[in-house]
Amino acid sequence: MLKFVQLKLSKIKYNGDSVGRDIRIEIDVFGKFLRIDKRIKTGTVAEMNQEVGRFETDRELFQTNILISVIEKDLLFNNTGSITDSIKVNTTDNQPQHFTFEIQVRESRSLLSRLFWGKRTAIFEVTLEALVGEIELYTPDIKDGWLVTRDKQDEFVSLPAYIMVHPTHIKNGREYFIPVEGVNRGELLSAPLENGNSSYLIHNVKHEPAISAQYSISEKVFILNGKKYKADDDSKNPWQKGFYDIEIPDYPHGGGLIYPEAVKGTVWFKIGYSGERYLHPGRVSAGCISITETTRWMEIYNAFIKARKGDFMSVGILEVID
Amino acid sequence: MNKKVFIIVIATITIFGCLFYWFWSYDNKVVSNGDVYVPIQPVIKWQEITVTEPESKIAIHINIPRVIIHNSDVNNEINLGIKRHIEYIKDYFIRDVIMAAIDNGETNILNIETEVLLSTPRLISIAFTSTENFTGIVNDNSKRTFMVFDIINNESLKEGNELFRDDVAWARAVTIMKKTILADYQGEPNCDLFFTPKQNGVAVSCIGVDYSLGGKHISLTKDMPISVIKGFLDPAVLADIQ
Repeated sequence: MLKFVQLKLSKIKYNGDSVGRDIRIEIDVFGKFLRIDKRIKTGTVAEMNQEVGRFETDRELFQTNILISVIEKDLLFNNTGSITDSIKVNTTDNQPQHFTFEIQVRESRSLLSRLFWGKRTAIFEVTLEALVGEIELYTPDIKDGWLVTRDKQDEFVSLPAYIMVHPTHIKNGREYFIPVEGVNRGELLSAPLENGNSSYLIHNVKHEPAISAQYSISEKVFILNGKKYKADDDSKNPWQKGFYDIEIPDYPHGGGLIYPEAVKGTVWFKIGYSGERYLHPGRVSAGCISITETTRWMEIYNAFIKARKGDFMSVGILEVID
Repeated sequence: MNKKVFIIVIATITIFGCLFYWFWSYDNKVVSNGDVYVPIQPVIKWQEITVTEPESKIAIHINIPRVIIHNSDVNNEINLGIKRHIEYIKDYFIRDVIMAAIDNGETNILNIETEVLLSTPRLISIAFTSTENFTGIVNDNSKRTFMVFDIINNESLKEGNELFRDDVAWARAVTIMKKTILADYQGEPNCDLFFTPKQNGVAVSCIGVDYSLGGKHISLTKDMPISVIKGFLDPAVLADIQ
């Protein structure tokens, strides 16, 4: 299982003699570098909570060297101390893991000063915190809106765009991962590596807040972000007024292929958790809410596809009004 | 003298009457010829196509109809619609091979069997049965999809609502057909209905997934008698099908 290790500067404790109050901490770990300035006096603890870096690993023990420098900034003479050590993070432990390092900073003023004040030594306890978690990647938004994957039973499973997944491993040119949302949540799926070496999955997707939309039964319009879209429903199978969850798309609906102008016409959003009522492009309705302005379907798709309600299943809420 | 004038008036009225009737009939005839559709039975010719791509380990077999309607320019539209439908099936198959097939050295095979279920001067109804065999995967992946073409209006019928009295009748018929095709199915199907008219009946398929089987793909097909939806069909369409 591929995991991330997030390393944070948790706190600094200033003990021993006072060598000054303007402290700079520099931390260098596995190519990541943090520099932070802090005013702190001896005998106190400063909470920092600053990220040093985020690392990916598929090993049970993440081990790396670390260089920590503490500098007391003076106008003429900086007082410096540093330490080189290593940290070992157990990636099977999801609890925060703490590592404390002691760095001595000896005052290094002029010879005259030393005669009067002697050799002062400050002791800084620098505590780092390691958090272990599963890596989050996302399905891409490709041409027809579906990433075709394979499950453990060798069934084809299509995932819509921007589904958060946890990658587990790579084997025989395929990348394995587990979706954490949508109808395929928790299943182990795989996709080939694109061109044999790069992942189809993408980083740095930021889900957006849940979308609120309305459907007016009497006006036959779908209202989203202040825009109105001509729509249709089935008068013999009427909608009840009220609120419904709009779900993350479930599987490609072939009925959308007859509307090529809709572009991603096979990506339908189920309304409510039971039954088979969807929001989709279409001329007529047998119970769904069909967006008859099929050329504008992508406006709705783009608004919904990245939105999340926070329940791992829905993208927003539909209010059906008179 | 009065008798002569009377005969001349009568003769003139008769001549103008005849001329008026002749012109009136002629005009109507011209208008009628423009509006009334002269039915011509389409001719279907068949072609077998095999495409192999050894590098991609793909083989595709298609039997494809070519529709010919003499003295009509709708041929191109119909044949383009058929070609487009087959292209969709082919493109999705190739994508699935790339994304999900297991490369064991064997060839992935797609068969597209095309049937003309109804061919009248008004409608052409075609079924495409695509069977996919992916290497290394045990699957029974056969789907039946349809295309209906309205020859008179020169258009492919998307949802098929034009075949019914109105949209409400279409919705009722769709609901009934879906209940009928799922009547004997055990499980939790979630599928989209596709249908097309055929002689004295309707061919129906429902394609989707079954979440009680872990999201397994389902593709159900059934031929139903026309009596199932007879009451909802447009009378002109009903006359064509029966």
